[in-house]
Amino acid sequence: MLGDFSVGKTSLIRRFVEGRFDDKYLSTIGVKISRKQVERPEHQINLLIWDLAGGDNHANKLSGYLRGAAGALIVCDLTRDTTVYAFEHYSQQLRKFNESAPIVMAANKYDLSDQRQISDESLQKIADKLRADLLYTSAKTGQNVIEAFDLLADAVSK
Amino acid sequence: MDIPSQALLAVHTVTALSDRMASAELSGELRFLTVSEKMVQFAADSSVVSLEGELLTDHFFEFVGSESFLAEIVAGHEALFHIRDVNHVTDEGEIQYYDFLIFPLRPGESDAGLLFVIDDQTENSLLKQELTQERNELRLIQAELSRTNAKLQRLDILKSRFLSIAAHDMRTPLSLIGGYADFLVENQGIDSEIRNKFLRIIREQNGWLNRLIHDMLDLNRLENETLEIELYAGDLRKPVQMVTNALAPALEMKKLDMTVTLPDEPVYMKLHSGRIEQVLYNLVSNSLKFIDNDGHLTFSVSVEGDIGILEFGDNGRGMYPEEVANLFKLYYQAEGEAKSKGLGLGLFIVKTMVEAHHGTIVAESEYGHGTTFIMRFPLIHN
Repeated sequence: MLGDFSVGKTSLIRRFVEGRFDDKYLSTIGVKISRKQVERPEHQINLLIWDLAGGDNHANKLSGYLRGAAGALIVCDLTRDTTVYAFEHYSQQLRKFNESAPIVMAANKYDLSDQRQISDESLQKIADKLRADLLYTSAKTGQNVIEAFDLLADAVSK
Repeated sequence: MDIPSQALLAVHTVTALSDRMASAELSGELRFLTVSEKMVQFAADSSVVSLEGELLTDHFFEFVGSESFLAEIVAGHEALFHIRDVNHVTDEGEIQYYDFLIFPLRPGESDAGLLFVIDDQTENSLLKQELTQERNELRLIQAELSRTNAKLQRLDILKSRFLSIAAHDMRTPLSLIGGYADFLVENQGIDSEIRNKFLRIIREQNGWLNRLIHDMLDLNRLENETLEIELYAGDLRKPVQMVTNALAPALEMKKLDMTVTLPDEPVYMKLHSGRIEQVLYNLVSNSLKFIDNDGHLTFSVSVEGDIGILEFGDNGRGMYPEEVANLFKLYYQAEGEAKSKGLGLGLFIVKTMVEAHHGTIVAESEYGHGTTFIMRFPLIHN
């Protein structure tokens, strides 16, 4: 789980794993690992989700976290245009360790549509460049949260 | 490499090495050999009693996917695997932070293995967390401030434009009023029909000025949150009748046609008659900018269940979808073919007034086919 600070990474995981949302913002330090089994008709996928501190961009620090990553959900906050830069930065860092790692882009806080600062076009352009799937999510309402993790789970288990 | 002196726990993890280990391919498995007692509390499965003989990756998910890198360490090709600030939540719900470090042990030899150290960083990392929290919150405030600043600058420009258009819009009716009044003073013996015509123009222009000033005052009250509208039970047909009766002569002079459709029965809702009239005047005023001579205006009131529907339409040039999307925004002015520039105030006030009546308003429009505004209000019974 990658992205700038306060884009909602921890909230998305909490929504996916625990099915709940908490408005309070608590900065993550380091990494918190959560586990979730995703059921498929013929098998189960064990997802180990690494919730990484946002805005911690030092490549040296990141290497310890990204070394074993099979794929990534990279998140931006639709209400802060500067958070889109994370997509390229983190995808480059991730693909140093895993060239073919699938990436799902989550454009989060979709519920705050009146404060939106990032256009569909600019997001789609980045998604095309990174060969990533793009989903509009809201940890608050739950919109597309399961879908985003499911998409990634299927991509990494291929 | 030295093991940090503050190391909380230490355990050997030794792999069953194969001859191919030197090439850093891990054909064996990383299993715990010697484990300190406290190590168990960090295992993913809290019910586990002993880790000895267990697979490293079964109990420490942090290393899943990194097996080949660990093999490089066993072989002595890499010096260290360091995962910083791994969050660990205690049974009491407190967050503790640990660094996971893996060092080579007798690298390249037949009994080569790994030394796994968990280093308690909680004290430092809690401070770091507080600092990061404050830094991030400050950055969020900074971002919010720049957004607000940009918005204020935009509003400032719009307000300047608004004032310049308002001054221009006021000057036109004032000139007309002044001109006709002077003419009437200087020509007291003028034919009564002409005199009445000029007086009607003066009254019409005065009414227009009055409404403009009311809108500006309302905007000021809205911005200061001091606008209060008292609603009382009333018949929605009444303000429509008032407005259409008052407009009839002016529309006739402009060669505009009007259709009014009202139900026979009263349509009771909580309303402020003057504000509903203001809504209709503003809608008409907006339409007149886009309608040609021989144009047509329609007013109608109808009932659908518990909802009263007030519709106003014209057969003017209509709007493009992007114009419809921005229509009710403050200071928004449709570009292009309007006969005169507005203040971008009227429709914003329309929407505000409709919402003050617990109603909704939508605009349906297609370029070349006119515009219809549909307002829905909750009705009251008896």
